[in-house]
Amino acid sequence: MFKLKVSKEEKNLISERLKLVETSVYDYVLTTNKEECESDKINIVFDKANIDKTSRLLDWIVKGEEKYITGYNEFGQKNVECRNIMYFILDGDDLHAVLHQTKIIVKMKLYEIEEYLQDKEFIRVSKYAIVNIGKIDYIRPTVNSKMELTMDNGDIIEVNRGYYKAFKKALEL
Amino acid sequence: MEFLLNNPVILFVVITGIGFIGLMVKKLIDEFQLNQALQLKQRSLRIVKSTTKPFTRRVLSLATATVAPVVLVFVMVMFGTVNDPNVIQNDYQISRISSSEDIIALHNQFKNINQSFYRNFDFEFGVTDDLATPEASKDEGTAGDDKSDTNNQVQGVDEMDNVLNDGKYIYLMTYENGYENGNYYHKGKVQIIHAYTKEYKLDGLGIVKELYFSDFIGEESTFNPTGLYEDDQRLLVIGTTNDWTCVDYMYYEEDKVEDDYVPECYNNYSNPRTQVFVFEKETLFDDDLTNDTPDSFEFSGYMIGTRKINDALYIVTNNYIPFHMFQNQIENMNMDDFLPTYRIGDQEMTVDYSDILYEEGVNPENFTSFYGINLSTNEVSKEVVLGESGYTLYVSLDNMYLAGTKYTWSTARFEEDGEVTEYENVEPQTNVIRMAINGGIVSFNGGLNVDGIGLDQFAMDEHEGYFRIVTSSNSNWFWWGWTDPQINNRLVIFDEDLNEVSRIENIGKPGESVQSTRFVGDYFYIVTFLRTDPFYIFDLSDPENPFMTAELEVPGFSDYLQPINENYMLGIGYGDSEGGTAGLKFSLYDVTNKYQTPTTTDIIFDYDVEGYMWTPTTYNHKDLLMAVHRGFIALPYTRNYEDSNGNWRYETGIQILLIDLDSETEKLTAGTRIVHSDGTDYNTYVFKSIYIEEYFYTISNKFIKANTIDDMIAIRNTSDSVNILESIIIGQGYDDLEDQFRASFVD
Repeated sequence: MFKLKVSKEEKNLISERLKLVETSVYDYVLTTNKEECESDKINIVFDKANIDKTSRLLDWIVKGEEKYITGYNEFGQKNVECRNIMYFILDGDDLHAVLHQTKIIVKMKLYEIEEYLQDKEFIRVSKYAIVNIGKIDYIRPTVNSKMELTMDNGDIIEVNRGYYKAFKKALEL
Repeated sequence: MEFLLNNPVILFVVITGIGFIGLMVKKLIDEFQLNQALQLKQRSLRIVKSTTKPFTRRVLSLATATVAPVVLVFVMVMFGTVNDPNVIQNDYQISRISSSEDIIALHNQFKNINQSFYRNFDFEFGVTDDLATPEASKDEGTAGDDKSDTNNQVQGVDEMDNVLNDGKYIYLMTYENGYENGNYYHKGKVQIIHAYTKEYKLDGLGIVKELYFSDFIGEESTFNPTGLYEDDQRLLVIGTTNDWTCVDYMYYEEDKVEDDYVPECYNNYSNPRTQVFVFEKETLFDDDLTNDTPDSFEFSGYMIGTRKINDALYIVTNNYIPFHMFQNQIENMNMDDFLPTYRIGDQEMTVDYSDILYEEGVNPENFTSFYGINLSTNEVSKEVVLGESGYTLYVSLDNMYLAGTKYTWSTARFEEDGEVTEYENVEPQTNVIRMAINGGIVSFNGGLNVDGIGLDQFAMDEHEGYFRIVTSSNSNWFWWGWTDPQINNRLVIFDEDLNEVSRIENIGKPGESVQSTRFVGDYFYIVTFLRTDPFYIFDLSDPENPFMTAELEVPGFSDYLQPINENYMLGIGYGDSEGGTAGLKFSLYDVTNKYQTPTTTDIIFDYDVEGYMWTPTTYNHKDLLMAVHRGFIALPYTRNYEDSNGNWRYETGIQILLIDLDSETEKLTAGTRIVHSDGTDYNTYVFKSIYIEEYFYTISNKFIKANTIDDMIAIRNTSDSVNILESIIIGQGYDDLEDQFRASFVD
């Protein structure tokens, strides 16, 4: 998504501060020298003093506008930023959105959630579950062509055989 | 690889193990790639997390899962729970008997398969190891008291011999026969002959004592001495005795009255016993030995072999269980009557059933008893094994090994023109029983079975805890002079637990049988024979990987191999100057370099020159006197030759071979002969020769002749005679008996 054009000596330090991952195909060029701007790209020329602000800008670019999920639990209705949700899972007829320590029941269908969050980094892993890629702690392939995902809260979600390829694709493998 | 192919279970485990490890590694790589991709993805989403820690944890747990079984197997191998796959586990199973019924039940199990003509073979002919035939000496001397000793297989393990000396007296096991009132008698005796001493030289030779055993065990005894042991304190006489049977003999007269029945007794060779007399040297020369009865021991059964190590005497006997006498009424048989018994002095003892060991799968025909006697305390220790009898005894300083033949029976079918013939097929194996020995205590220490049949005691050896044995399959050794082209001679090495660690099969060229073997430390020498005499050397320093280092092929063959030192081996056998075997041949093999074809120095006594000549040393190593440090080797010989008048002559005596290992050209040369026979009489039996200090003594059933070693080794040909200092008559030949026979009637 991004290309960073700074002097070699500074590159590591700046990309770290900017939490920047460069890719071969990119839309944005980040540089401290306006001479380096590329005509067919979106160019961000920043000053080293404004790295933090630049980083926030990048956050906004990448994460885009936050989407909210409305659900309820025993304490009533909740509005949750979708990036905080670990995964969605069907339990009987109820769809649960699982957060780090709690979960809420969402009055939506799983396919509606999938559609609603398609520009966010959520992925369908089985008939019953959609997970937040950003909340996966560890991936363990099992012998029967499935995968077990350990989420940040320690829950384990299975990637079914039918969704295996799509999952690997989402990881750009 | 061959090992794995022969062991499909181990192969399966190995393949599964490799497959498992492969799978683990693949899984790990996949996992690593996935998590790397996840990390990259999350970073591009500007979520900074590390998957390194979970990944490291994961690698550790997977590696543990992979390595743990390997470590576990290794630990179990080390502690002996799981066996090293290179070692073939010993399948020898031993159990204890508890009653007479147990033995009869075992017999019944074998009854059906025993109904074959092989059954009664029972190897009675094999019981020859230490019996009556003479023995020899080795060149180990003590300072100022250089004398010959028995030529034992293992240094420190004495073998029974017929002529011994302690530097002052010569002890000779012999016999006396003659006629008394027209009745022939033959009785064993021990002659004690005073040899030359430092103080009392010329004319010092003479019989000082004759021991007759009837003095101690009664006139009717059939005691027949078979060998002697001697040490600083005592003289041991070992022999066998049998039962006499008395029957009333009836004269065929018409008016017979009761007095005409004359009881006549004869030795029916039943109930054989092995007896040991221990004479204290202190009292040996007392005038009346009957007042000072020697310690005596008696063991039921045939004697298989004996050995003596310091103050401990070991005896192996065999009791045949006469199942055949009970035929169809086996249930009436009481095994109590046939249990091995032994006697210490007057104290009779019988073996308990609980003392009897039985090897699973072996025909229960004999009790083989292993006895250890502590000569200082007169205590007897024993182990009894029920099974087929062994007959070849090899004893190291720590263990006795008794080898016998075990037959595995199978029925083979042969079909021709629709007619089916079933016949018994027999596969011989060598069965070895090991007894640990220590100061007169014997204790069972395992056993083993190995394919093929062993040759003799020299086909076994123990070195640094490893037991080595040579056997041959398809050798058909019991049919004279016939060998099978399929013959397979093998060397097998066992570890301390008698598990097989390695073997070499097919030693020698196709069809060649083993003639002689000798183990010397890390090296093994073997002679095989069919037309030529291949002499092979094997390096056994790595018991798991023995290999052949050198090979020599010369005409003739060596029947016995005598190591001289690390660098030389003496072979005694047959060969002639034309590449045949019609002569007596001595070969000195130079094996200084074990990795090079050895060179030989030969002495050949051709048939054309000497007539038919032979020596008992080819089958009795104790007849050989090795005095290499004194420059000679001596051995009994016999020859039949045609003299210039065309008459066949008989000659027997001692042949001297001169040996000088430092000489370039004359390492081994023929020396003089000391002849004991006279003309055409076949009545002389030469026992052997000994030396004490500067004197050399040759001993036969008729004479002891003495000469000096210096005179003797100065003669470098076979035709010149040595100057005999003194020749005394100690016995008589058979021809003298004829006169006695007549004289006995005159009285």
